[in-house]
Amino acid sequence: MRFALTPEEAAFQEEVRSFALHYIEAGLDTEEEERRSGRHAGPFSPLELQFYKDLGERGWNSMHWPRAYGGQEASAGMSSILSFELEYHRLPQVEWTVSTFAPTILKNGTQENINLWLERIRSGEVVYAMGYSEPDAGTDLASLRTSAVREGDSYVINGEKIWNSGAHHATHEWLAVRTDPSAPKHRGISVIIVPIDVPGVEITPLWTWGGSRTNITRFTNVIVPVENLIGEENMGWSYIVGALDYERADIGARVIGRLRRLLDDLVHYCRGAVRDGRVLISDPAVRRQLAELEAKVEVVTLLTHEVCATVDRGETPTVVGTMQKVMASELRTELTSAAFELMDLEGQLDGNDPLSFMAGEFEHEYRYAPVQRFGGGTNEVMRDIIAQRGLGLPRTAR
Amino acid sequence: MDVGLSPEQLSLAEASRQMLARQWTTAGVRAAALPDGPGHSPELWKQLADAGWLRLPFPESAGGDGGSLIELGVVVREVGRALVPTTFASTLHAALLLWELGSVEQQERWLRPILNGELLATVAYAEAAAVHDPAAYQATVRRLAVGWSLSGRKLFVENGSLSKLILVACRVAPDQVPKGLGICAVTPDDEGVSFSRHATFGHDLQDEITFAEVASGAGSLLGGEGADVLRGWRHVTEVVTVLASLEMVGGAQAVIDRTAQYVTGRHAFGKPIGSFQAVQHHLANAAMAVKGADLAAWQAAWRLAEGLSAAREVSIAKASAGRAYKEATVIAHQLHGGMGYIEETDLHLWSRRAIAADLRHGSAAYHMQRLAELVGAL
Repeated sequence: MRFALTPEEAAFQEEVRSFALHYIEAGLDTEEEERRSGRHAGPFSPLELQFYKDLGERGWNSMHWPRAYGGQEASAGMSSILSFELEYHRLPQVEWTVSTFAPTILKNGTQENINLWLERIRSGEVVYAMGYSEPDAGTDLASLRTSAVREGDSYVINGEKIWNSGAHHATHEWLAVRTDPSAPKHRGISVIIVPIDVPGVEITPLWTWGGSRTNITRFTNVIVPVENLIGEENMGWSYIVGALDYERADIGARVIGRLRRLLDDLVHYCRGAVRDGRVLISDPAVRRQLAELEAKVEVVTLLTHEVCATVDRGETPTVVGTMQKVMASELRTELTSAAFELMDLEGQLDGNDPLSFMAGEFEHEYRYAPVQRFGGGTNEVMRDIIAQRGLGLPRTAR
Repeated sequence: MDVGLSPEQLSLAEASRQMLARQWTTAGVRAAALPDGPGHSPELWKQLADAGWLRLPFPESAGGDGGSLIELGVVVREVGRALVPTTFASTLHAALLLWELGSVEQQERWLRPILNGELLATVAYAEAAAVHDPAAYQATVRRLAVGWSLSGRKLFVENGSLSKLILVACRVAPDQVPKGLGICAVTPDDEGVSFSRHATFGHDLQDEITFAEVASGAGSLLGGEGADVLRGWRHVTEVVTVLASLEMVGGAQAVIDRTAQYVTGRHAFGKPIGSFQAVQHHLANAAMAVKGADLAAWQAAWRLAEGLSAAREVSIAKASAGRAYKEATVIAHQLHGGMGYIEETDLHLWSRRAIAADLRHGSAAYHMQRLAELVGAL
């Protein structure tokens, strides 16, 4: 037992922090805030490109990969430090393709898959968009209908994906498709990589309340070679579910990086803001409210450490990862909602107002927070998982 | 960072759990409970002493087993799960104080017999007008020609009338040394000690004790001249607060486990009620709260074991555990329906303990207030 960083972890944390401060001095946190809030949605700036290149050169974009494929075989504990610090400092994150899809290819893919994709993912040449949800298949993802029909050495794909967030800057789709319509719904799904730029792919933007862009992507008689199949045909469901377990450690660390920063900023605000002749933090009720948030952020942080420890023991963090997801996502709304109350009238200012605190981060976060509660598995299903896998309750009647 | 127990510690947990499952059923809990029971079980006490549980965290030189606070915590969590009588916690509290502040002679005289299972002990601190702040205690010792004279009134002394040693937190009369807080050891048979039993929600034994010019011997005050008694007292308070948190986590987990079992077996509308989403979500919420409290308690225990500052972590742990235990029992009653309402079902044994445990060593509200002061002071 050790509730503290090891010397190696502490040294890495210092390294990441000075890296982060360098890019903050260059203004990257401001650019990132503009991008996340939706005020800027253009192509990458020179500074953003430099940042991603720098991440790659340090090996930080693939640090948990095996050495044989250019990784560092870093522990989940180590890579979570990177995720936490980047998020805490409001910088861009390691691409999802690297953190979530690449490990899935390494675990479930064929050697041919690995040869074809891994190095191109690591170099940033290939970026996947997550093509899972459909208009009629969201939480019940296994009822998806986008079809892939084998014709000779190709698949012919038809269907429609929604909440396809990365599509407008990804190079490929990581596409969940039905390859066996006659099998039970979980057993007829495959994952196929589809280049975005092939004929028949049509992307339509959907703008979200959180400021970011997502998309509807339609596939009409899209032809891809069979070599783009990941792993085995009709085994896709287990890859999709397994990938969720992979990302819990890194995404968990990102979320607590965000929560910690929001709370630190809120405390900072309460130390400086004067309301009706009194500094906010001098009010015991304000301190009490901050303490409630402090305890909750701390507990979610500890759960994240346990997720990493579980991964590093070689186990799947299904239950504790799910708990972390539910608690962290709900705390985001709670924290930002408390911030509104503490900030009083100022709480409503958005980042376009010169009087706004921290470029309106709390109001933006409040708008962004709901997606966390259903993204990556809606919290209702997450609670089912905790009850069934954690406590052994019977399967839900559905 | 490694937030888990070691394989050896996990084995200790499993062995402790199995031993209590054999030795301490809810029939025992009911038989020991007040007002008809004694609040204690000598048979169980012998088992625990033989297993070395009281010796766990103390060095071998003092008659202990040389383990750490973590191993003790492992056992205490099982104590909470099985609702072992509070004599374990109150005696441990006294033992930790003796280790922290006692002289070699005092440790030989009192700590060693405690560790051998031969002496029940407790600590008296709360008063009518002061619970957590030693500076507000009114009970006072003053020096006699030989030894000390103790006067005052203490409330909520756990197992006071069962214990053969009572360590009383008091003030040393202002014109005398050592200054400030004193810890005076008395026995229930000393002249001037009188007991009046509280009637409590938890059906555990707690006494009001009046000390009327109780003469205690020359070696009865813990912490010699120059010893920082207040600091030692606070440290031990943090340790027992963390142990109380772990005890609560164990109890709360027991409530969740038995409720999960109940809703799996209980059918309505032709299905186990545990297959309904609303039921699953109630239990999932309880399980999350308990898991969080568990981690928070281990973090605090680890920091104390390492000699690090832990005020923030202790308060987070106790507040989290207090809420988690209480909420788990409340939702367990809801999910048991009428079966959780009748005395015949064991559930209320934990529900009673949950309230008593939240109030011991500072409620969730008290610790949240402490945390608020820390957040404000950063």
